[in-house]
Amino acid sequence: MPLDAMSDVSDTGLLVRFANGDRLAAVALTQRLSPRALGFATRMLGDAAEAEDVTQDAMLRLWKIAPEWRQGEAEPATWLYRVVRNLCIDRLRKARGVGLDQIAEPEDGTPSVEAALIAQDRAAALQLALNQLPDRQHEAVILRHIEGLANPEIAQIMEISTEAVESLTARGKRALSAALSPKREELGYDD
Amino acid sequence: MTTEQNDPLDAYFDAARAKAPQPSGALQARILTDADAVLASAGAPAKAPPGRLHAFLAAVGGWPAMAGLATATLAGVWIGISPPAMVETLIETQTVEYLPGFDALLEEG
Repeated sequence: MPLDAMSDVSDTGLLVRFANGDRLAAVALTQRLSPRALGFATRMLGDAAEAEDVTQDAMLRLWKIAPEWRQGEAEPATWLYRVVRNLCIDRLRKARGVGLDQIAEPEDGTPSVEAALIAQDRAAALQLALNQLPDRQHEAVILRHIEGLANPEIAQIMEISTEAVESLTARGKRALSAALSPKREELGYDD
Repeated sequence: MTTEQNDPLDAYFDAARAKAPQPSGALQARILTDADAVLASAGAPAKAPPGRLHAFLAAVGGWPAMAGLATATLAGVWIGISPPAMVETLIETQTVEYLPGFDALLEEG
């Protein structure tokens, strides 16, 4: 089957084809899933090179699990997001040298958020503000508002309830508003 | 009150989505190299489970013992087909009577 014709095949279908030795299915899955894995990893880690390594590692795990993939259990994209999340958490823990629960929540925005706003770089300002959120709020906000996933899927990825996802995203957004709004008003962003 | 439609944060989320990182060609090549390696290892001939021959060899002591067994078998076959003169002499001259007098019993009825 040519690569173009694979656009109609589901992610699970492509994974089954790959497990049966179809290399083009790997190409199609890479084009489809690696941008999502890389986007999530980049926003989690804030480091492009590390995010690339995580993406490669997560995709390798997908290739390896393909022969044992059980249809109807989880979507490959959901499974991949969960793997990326776990790999990112491992790296963040190693970088900090402490458990995630021991990280204190920051109280205020940092001057660098302001600098990004002055530069009119909303994406950079948001990333800096996201980095200040507690990890679980950080993850939930990225998955909900940037990756555009539905709450039940985020619940599967984070292995928590849908209600917990709603709570995390609401608290995360409040904290983001608190970090961004005062600076935005001072700089006349809302005029 | 802030709603989903006029949330000031939406402009930030839109900007972040517009700046979504895209995998470079080099990263995609690395990912596909891994996929090829996984396919190659999956396609490699699997080790055959031990069969009857393997079990028999293990029982008799491996291939060296098998060589000795084969030599003895061939020698036996060869002696059967073409017995050396010494063997023929032995067969002809050394007749052992296990029931002496049995022939006499038959004759007497």
